[in-house]
Amino acid sequence: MSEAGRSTVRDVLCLPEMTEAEVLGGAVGLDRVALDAHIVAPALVRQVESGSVVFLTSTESLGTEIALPRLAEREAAAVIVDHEVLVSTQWLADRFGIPLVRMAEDRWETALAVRIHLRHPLVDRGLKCAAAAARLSGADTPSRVAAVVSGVLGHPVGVLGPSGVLLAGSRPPGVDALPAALAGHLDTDFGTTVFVSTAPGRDSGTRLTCVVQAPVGLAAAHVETILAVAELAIVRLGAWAARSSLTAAWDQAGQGALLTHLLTTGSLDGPRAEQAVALGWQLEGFHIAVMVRPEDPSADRSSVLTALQNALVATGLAVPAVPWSDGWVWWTSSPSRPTQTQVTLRSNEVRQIVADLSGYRIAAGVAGAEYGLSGLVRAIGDATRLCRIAGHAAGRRHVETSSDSNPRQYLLTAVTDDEARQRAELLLQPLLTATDSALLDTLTVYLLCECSTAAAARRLGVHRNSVIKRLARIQTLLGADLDDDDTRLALRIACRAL
Amino acid sequence: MWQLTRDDLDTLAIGASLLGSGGGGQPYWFRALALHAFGDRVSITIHDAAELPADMLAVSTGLVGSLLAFHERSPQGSEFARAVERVRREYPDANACVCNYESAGANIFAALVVAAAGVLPVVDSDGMGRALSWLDQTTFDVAGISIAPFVCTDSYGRTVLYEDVRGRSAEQFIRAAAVDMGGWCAFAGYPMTIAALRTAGIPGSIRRALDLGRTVENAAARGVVEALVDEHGARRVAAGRVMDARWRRIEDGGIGSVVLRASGDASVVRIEARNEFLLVLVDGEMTACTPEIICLMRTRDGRPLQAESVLAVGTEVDVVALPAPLLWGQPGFRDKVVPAAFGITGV
Repeated sequence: MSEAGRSTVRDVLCLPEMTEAEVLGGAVGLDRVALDAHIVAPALVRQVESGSVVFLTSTESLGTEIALPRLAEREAAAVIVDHEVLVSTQWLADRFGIPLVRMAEDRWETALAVRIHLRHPLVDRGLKCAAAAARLSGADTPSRVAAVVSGVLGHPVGVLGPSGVLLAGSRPPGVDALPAALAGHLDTDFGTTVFVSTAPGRDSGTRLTCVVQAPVGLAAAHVETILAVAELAIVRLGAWAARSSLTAAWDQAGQGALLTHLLTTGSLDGPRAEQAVALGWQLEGFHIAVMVRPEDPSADRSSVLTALQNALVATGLAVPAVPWSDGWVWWTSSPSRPTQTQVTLRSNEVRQIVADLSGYRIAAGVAGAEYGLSGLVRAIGDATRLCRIAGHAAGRRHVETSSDSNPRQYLLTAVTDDEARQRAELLLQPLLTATDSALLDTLTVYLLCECSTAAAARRLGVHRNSVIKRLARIQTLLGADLDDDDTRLALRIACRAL
Repeated sequence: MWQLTRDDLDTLAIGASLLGSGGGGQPYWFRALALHAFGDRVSITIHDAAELPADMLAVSTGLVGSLLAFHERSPQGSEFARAVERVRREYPDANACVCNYESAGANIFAALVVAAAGVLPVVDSDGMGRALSWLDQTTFDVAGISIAPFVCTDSYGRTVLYEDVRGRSAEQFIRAAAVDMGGWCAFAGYPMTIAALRTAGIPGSIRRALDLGRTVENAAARGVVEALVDEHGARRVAAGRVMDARWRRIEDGGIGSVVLRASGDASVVRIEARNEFLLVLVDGEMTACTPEIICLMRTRDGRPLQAESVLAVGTEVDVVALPAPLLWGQPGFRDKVVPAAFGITGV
C-alpha cells in the first residue's frame, strides 16, 4: 500500500480471488499503486492507462513478452496472465520492474473483482458484506467465523476472548496493544490491525474481539470494508456466545434436577439413569464427593462456574460440576477403595482449586470414600455439610474434609448455617434496627457471661446499672422474658449465628 | 553460367545451412547423394535463368517430408530424376531444365543430383531463396504459377501424379504422400517456362549459398559474423549465451524458443522458431523477423546451428540476419512470409 493510502499491487494480490496467484517476475514493483483493472488484448496494450492492473488476453508466452515493454511504457501496475512463460518473459518483467502474475482461475471474474475493489469501494464493501453474511449464517463456532472472514477478506483473522485469549484463527502480532474501544484500527509495524469487539453485558457476557490483520497503509475505504465485515462477524460471535451460555445453563439445570432427584430419592430410575450415563456420571465404585460454594451469595454464578470448570480442567479432573444448592458438586470414582493417601491427594486438589479461585471466596467440603449409589448420596450429603462448616471467616478453614472435621464443627454448623442466620436476623430484628447499637452487644455479652449483669458490665466497661437498663430495653423491644431459660437459649444461638 | 565443382559441395552445404535459417535440414546425406551423382564429373554447369531460352520448360524439384526419415531410409539416387522426368513427360515437345523449389538446407542439392545424373541442365533460380516451412510458401505460388501437375516418387519407384491441385491442398496431398511413402518422397512440380521463372523465381540462391559458404570457411573462427556483415550485408542482431531452449515436435515439423542473455548489457533475447527461426525479440522489441534470414552462429567456430539442435544451455552464440531475397519484400509476396503467416500476431 502506498503512503497515500491507495491500493497497491500487493494489496490486489491479497484479495481472496487471487489467493492462487503466483508472481512470476517483477516483484520489485509490487508496491506500485493500482488504480484500475482492465482486460486487454495484446494489440491494444498501447491504450492502457497508467496504474492499470492488466489482465492480458494473450494465451501464450510470446504475446505476453511482446506486450510487456509496451505495458511498462504505459506504466501499467501489473500484468496478469494465465499461462506459463519462458524465463525470458520473467527476466523482462524483472527488467521493467512490472509484476507479472500468473493465475489459473477464471481471470475475468477476478478482473471484475479487482476493478470493483480498486474503483468502487462501496460496491466492494456491499459484495463482501453480502458474501460474509451468506457464509456466516452457517458458521456456528469462532473458528468457522474466523475462516469465513478470512476467506472473504483475504487477510489473517483471529477471534479473541476475554483477556485477549485466542479462541480461533491466528493471533495477529501487536494485538496486545489494542485499545479499549469497541471498534477501530491500529497501524503497526506489522500492518493495519482492524478490530471489532462485542460490548460486554450487551452483546454477550464477556468481551469477544474479531481482529483482522491487513497489510500496512490500507486505504481508508478498505479499512471501512473490513470493519463492516468484522461487524457482521461479531454479531455472529455474540450469538454464538449467547447460545453457548444458554446451552450450558440448560445442561446445568438438567444436571441439577437429576442430582436433586438422586439425593432426595436415593436412587435413579430408568430414564434418569440413562440421562446420568449420557452425562458421563460415574455411579459405581467408591466415590469421593466435593461440594464448593461461593461465600458471597451475590457472586456471578456463571463467572464462578466458568472459572471452576477451567480450574477443574487445569487440575486434570474431567468431571462435570453439577449445580447443587448454592454451589456445585462433583465426585471422583474408583473401582477399589481409595487409600488415605489418595483421599488426601483429592483434598489437596480441592484446596488448590479453592486457592486458584481465591477471588471468588470459595468454600469447599470433601467427603468419602463411600461405595455404590447410596454411598454417593451419603458422600454428597457429607460434603454438603462440610461445605457449610468451611468458610473464609476467622476460625474457619476454606476446605473441610471428613477426615479432619470434628463433632464440634458439626454442631457449630447447625447453629451457624444460612438458615440459622436468617432465623437469627428475624428474631433479633428489633435490636438490629434499634438506634442504640450497643443493645445487641450487651445482650450477647450478657448471655456469654451466664446472665451475670456484673460480669457483663465489667466486660463491656460500663456501669452495672447501664447493663440493667439496657436489658430492660431489650426485653421491651423483643417482647421476651430474659429470665426464661428457653428464651435465653434461643437468643444465645441467634447471637452466635449472626 | 558457371561451374560448380565437386569440391564446392562442402562449402555449398555450409552456405545452404545459413540460408536454411535454422531449418531446411542437415545437408550431410544429400551432399553425399550429390557427390555420388557427380560420379567422375569434376563439375556441373549452373545456368542463370537469363541465359536460357524463354520458352524452355523449368521443373522444380526437392525433397518433402522428414529429413530424419531421409537419413534413416537412404535414397537410391534416382528418385529426383524420375520425378522430374515424369513431369517432363507431360510436356513431350518442350526442352526442359531443372531447378530447386528451395535452394536452402538439404534441398539445395536436389536439382544438382538431377543435373549431375545428366538428365537435365540446372538453372539457379528457386521459389524460396531461403528455407521455409510449406510448399505453398513459394514465390511461384504467389506469382500464380501452378504447382500441378506435380509428382511424388519414392525409392521403390512408386510414383504419384497430381493434377489440378493447388495451394494449401497441394501441400496436404504431398504431406500425405510423404507419410505413405515412408516419411519422405521426391517432389517435382511447378512446371513453367523460363520466362515465367525469371519473374516468379528468386535468382542466384545456389550462387549465394556458395558465396556464403566460402565466406564462413575463409573467415577466422571468431570473425565469421564480421565477414558476413562486410561481405553479405548481414546484420548483427545479438550475441550472448543460451539460457533456455524449448523445442517440441508438431504435425508438420517443430516449434520452439531460444532464450539468450546478451553478453554486453544483459538484454533479454528471445528467438522464436517454427522449423526455421522466425523472429528475434530483444527486451521485448522485435529486432529481426522473416523474411530476413535469421541465423544462430556458434561463436567459437562460426558454424550455423539448426533450430532444433540449440538445446545446450550455456552455448555462446551470435545472432545475425541476412538480407531477405528481394522478391519477398515485394507487395503481395511479403504477406506469405511475415510472422503473421506463421500465426504470430501482435509484433
